[in-house]
Amino acid sequence: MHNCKLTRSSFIDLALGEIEPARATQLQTELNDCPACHEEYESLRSTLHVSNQALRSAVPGEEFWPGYRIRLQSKLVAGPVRQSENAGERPSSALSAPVSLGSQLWSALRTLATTSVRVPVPAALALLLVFGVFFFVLRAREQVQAPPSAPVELVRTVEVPVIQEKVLTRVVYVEKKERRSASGANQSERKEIPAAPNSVAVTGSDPSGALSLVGFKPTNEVKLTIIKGSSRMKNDDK
Amino acid sequence: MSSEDELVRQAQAGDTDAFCLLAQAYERRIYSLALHYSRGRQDAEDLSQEVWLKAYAALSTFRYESSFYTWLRQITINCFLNHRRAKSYRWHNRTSDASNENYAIRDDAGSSARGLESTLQNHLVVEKVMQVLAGVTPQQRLIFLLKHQEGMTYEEIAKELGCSPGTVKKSVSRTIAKLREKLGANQEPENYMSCAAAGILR
Repeated sequence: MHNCKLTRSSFIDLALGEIEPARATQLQTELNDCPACHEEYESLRSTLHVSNQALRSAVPGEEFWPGYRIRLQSKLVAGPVRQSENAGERPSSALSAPVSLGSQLWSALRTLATTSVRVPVPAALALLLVFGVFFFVLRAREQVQAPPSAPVELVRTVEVPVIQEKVLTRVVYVEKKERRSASGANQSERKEIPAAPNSVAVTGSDPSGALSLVGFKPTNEVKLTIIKGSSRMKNDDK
Repeated sequence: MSSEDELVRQAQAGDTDAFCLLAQAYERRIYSLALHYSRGRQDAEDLSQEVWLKAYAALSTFRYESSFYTWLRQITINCFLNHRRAKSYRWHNRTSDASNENYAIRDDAGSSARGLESTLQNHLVVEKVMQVLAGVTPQQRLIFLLKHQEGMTYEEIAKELGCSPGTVKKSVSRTIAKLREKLGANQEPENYMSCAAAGILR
């Protein structure tokens, strides 16, 4: 029984000659019996015919080919010398032209750069997988073997404010005579006024009347340098 | 031994003139394939001449196990595929304008005598076909050309391209469906025939 849908599914194969002769004969019979299928098949054939003619018409005319041949011949002459397997190769005038080593090297590099190899997709995927696993294993091993990270020594110049110690030196000249009279006068005052904690205590036990610093408690840290005697004292001693 | 085999032997011995004679016999077929595959006259010339140069370099590997053209077509297909990989960016970026001067139909002296109307009609039909070919992938285009122009079987194409015959069949069906859609499948078949027969046929 004729099925239009089934028959039409074989039209392309029939038009392109990809159907067995027995099946082709059967289809032709069906086409003769079904006007709709016949029209559809003719439409397909016409499309193929027109496209075929259109493709052929795009080829350039006769005037194109002499130049094309000349250009091809010049490329054959300029190209690298063919590696013939025949030892007794007849030298051609065109091929005997010397080819420089640089051009040969350049041609070889160009061939190497543009040559490709067909690799089946499963093989390519397997290769990618292997490389990926290898890469990750290598990375993991590097991370394990790496020593713990040492503290990084960073040298940096920092300005720190330095507190400068200031030494105050007070030179006190005390004359002996004045000191003695002052000590005598102060004895009565000392009895009346209790000595201030920070004042200099002059004890009366000192028969010579020398200035004593016993009991002296300075409120501030002041360094006092007391120099005994003077130029006058020296004269007096004489 | 046929004259072609004799030419091949002479070319294998290094006779460039013999090789040029061989090239003359098939230059149009190779150029046509290159032109429809690359969709540009300059690319077609470069591509087809690259095929001839590679064929000349590999001529010593020809063992007479098949016809010279079958061997040459294998080189052509490999050359096309390598060319596409090397210049893939150009294939993607090229516009599908088939009416440009790089890819126009032949407008030789004969066409001027055929009347303006038929010439214009032919231009339109050719342009539509080229637009369809421009709209498919390079592999689909190559499969369609090998099937439609070269008459190779699905199995032969599949073997050359490294895919299954089912893929080839599906690819051809898709391209033909696009052609029918573009050319108008519901039009009268006579229109196509008259168009094809009008002038641009050889």
